[in-house]
Amino acid sequence: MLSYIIRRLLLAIPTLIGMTAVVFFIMALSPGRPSAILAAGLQLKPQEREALKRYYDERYGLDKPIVVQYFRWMKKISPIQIGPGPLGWPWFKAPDLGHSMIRDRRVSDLIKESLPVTLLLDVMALPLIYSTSIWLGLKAARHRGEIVDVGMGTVLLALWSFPVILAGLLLQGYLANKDMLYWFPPAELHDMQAGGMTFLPHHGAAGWERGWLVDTAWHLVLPVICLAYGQFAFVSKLSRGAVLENIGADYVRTARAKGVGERSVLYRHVFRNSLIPLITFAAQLLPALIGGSIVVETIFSVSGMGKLGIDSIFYKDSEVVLAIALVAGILGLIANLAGDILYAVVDPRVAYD
Amino acid sequence: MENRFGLKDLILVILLLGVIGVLFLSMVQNDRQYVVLQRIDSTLRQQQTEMADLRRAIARGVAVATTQQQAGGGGYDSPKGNPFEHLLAAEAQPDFARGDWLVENFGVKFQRLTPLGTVSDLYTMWVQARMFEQLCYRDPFTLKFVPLLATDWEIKDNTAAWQTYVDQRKKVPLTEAEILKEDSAPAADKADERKAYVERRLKEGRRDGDIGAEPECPPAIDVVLQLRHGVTFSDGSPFSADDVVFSFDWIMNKKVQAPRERSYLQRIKSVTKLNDFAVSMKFKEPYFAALSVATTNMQIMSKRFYEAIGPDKFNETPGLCMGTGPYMMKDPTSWKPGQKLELVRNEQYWGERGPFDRLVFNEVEGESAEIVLLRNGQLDRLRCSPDQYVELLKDKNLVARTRHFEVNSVDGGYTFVAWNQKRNGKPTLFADKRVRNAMTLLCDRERMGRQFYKGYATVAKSMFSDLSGQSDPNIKALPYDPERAKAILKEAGFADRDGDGVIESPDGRPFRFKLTFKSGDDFSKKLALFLKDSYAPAGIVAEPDATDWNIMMKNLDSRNFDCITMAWSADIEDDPYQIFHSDQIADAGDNFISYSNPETDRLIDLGRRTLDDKKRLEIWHQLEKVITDDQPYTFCLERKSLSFIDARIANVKPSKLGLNYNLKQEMPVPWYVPAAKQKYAR
Repeated sequence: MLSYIIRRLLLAIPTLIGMTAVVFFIMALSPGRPSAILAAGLQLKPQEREALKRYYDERYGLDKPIVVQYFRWMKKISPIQIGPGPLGWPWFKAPDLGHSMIRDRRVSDLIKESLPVTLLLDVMALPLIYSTSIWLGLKAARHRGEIVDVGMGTVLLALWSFPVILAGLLLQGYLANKDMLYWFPPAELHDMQAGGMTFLPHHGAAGWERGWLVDTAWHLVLPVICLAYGQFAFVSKLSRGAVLENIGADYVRTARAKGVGERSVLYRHVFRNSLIPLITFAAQLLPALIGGSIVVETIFSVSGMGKLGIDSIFYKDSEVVLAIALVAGILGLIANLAGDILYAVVDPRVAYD
Repeated sequence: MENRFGLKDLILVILLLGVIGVLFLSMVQNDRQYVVLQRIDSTLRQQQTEMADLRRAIARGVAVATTQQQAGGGGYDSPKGNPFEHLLAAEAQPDFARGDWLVENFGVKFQRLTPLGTVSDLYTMWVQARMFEQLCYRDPFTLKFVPLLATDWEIKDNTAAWQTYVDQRKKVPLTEAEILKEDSAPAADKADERKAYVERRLKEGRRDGDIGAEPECPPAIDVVLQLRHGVTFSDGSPFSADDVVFSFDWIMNKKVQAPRERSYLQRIKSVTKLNDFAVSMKFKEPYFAALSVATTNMQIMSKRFYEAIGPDKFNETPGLCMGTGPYMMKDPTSWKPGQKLELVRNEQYWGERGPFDRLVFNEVEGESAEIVLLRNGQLDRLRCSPDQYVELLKDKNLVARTRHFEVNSVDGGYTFVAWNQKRNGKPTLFADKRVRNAMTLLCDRERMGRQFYKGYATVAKSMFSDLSGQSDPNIKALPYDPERAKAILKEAGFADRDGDGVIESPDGRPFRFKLTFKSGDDFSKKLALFLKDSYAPAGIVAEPDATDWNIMMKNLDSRNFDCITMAWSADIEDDPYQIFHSDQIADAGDNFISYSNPETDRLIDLGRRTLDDKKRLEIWHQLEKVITDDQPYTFCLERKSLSFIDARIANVKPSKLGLNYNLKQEMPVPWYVPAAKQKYAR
């Protein structure tokens, strides 16, 4: 098992190099100049453009040939260094993810700020998706062909087809509007006065105060719903299919004949054997959620990786885009590796040596 | 018994982790409270010291302000005006009260609040303008210069002496060595570009600006400014001429990242201290907007604070704000992007304290979210597009809770269609000014305003604005007259000789061209189609060409387009050099239509040098006449800015710069909320 893991990790390196090379060259070969000139757009007075243009060429080497630019970037992010490194250790240095042109900040800082936000949304959404879908799938499999099964299938399919953009706007317009139902806040993850709140709800002089934790949770509800609702259909169908496959198996008949209760049969025997397709899907879901939350982040104005990525692509902020591609790639590879390891844990028949 | 890890155990573990998490958060909460207590403690101690100082000073005897000073001006009057005139007028209102918050929303996430830097998007500058101040600001109603950190100024016109020196130096021929040392010379590894640059410069000869930068050259203009006494930064330290000199030197320091500000202040040769409260700004060449450059293009930063930080840390740190303004950050060093952006009132402000307790700047992006915020009363000002405006006006609840404004602004700029006169070295169909005039006559700009801006736009007759006096009121915009346009085209030799519905030029070229506009923008697409329909009746075929913004900019630089529709923003007194002077055709300059008219060049050069306001405005009027005759652009529309302001805010008035609280400028906030309507506690 260990040799398998090490092999996979080593294989990840050429994969990442290839991926970043493709991303880089596509961006570099597409026409147009990167930089804040575009960010400022029409508000720039003519004389400023010249000054900014020269400044960026000098600072980021934008006037050099693209292959040279790529290797410059590779040199920056590699932990290997020719000659003694800054800490006095030969051959090792901290990888430097680069500097964002339009935001004028270190890319590592930007990612440090946006990644937790995206991960928070995903970590809230994933368990929700999985627990609901698995339960629904199991129910559908048990009452196969009946109204529960068919009805659920239709409803979930309808939800899947409903576009996220429209759902987000409707939720915002109806559930977050003081003129309609004001059940949830319309945007962002924190209240305007959140900086001065205590963490836990408490009863202060001005009455009942929500507290930072509850306030964040309250703000999270709508974005997480938007992220999650479309995935119910797929995962529930997946789990329904897997369970149905197993429910006709011999060992289930044996268990029933033995006298094991129906509930036990379902949850303890059948379910565990149906996990494999669900694990596969989970491994692919994580990277998709990171990218797919762009729409949700835009509608609810949450600054996560999706927004960061889209803005950087538009303004051709190459260092940020490459760093995001790298991070997303690493996360994807880790997710796949974790999925493969989980197979070995869940299914004793699977061995990697 | 089996010892399996079941569901119950999982729930127990999660609960346990939850309890640990809550404990941890309580500890963090405690720490935060401790930090706040410490800050309160140090502020109290500081106040104790100040009280003691005051007591001692009074015991020693203090000079009291004379009645002359006190009469009405609140002590801020100076030879050139009173900076707090409007705020004092508001204070005289019976319902005036200090308090409440002003909640704004710019649809961006702020990345950097430290002044200068490369990320200077408009909204960041608007926030900085509340914390920093300049030497002057422009009165939103009269557009006059109002002294803020300065009290008086004198513009010494030294052009004669400067001109003598320049003429003498121009007789000395320029050498290649000198050319290669220039700032705008291409880098050493670009041999071809270097050669081309050297050739061009040898032909041009010495430039006025370069000669003006030489140390022996007398300054063309010398602006001597008297500074205000008693001004303090938000940490209490006093302001003096040293800070003004420092602010300039800091921007010009190449180690500091400030390429934009540096390009603005290029004209200034030096800023020298005359005494603790007077500075002299010397200019390299005569420029009509010298006073504007000297007093409204440079925020005054604290020398003591920023010098100690140093250029490297200054470039990297996003939250360093130490200015003299009426609002400040609670902590001038620690703000990071992602933290809520709130400015609190500077209680130690040297002038009339701001009316609001806090200015809150939200970072919610997305139109829909913003509108919901406004409806919920969680937003005090919303700027909207014409479509949104019309929609929102239908909502009676909203209209009752807010006030709405449609204002033209002197620096709002204009939209236009630019006709490229030279492509690939050959003159295009638009090189003939009769053709350009015809194109303008074919375009019903009033209808454009009604259809696309729902009537919230006025027809622009030139690049100058009516509101500033730079535009001649006697000149009228070209009317919508398709018949006359067709007649002009016929006169210029255009006719449909082969009967295919498209007219041809005298030398047989069919009148077809591509109309370039920014892609991804539904609005621009509809506009392009409107233009296409305008030109079709005359037998002209315009093909809308949606282009990515990046590519569009590239094509502009290489002059690789037929015509393009865009917008420029403007200055209070606009300098047309960049766009219409023939000097700016070469080197990917902004005269991307290759427009060249010696009369235009002469008038622009003359206007830029004339310091006398009245004479200069007459020159601009003459220039406007030439431009109207030539129609290098079809000037389309000046758009109004449309906004909703929460009704509880008083003293909101339209002015020549938009509303009377003009975010772009460092000016006192004249709005307030009467005590009865205040919503937010301190």
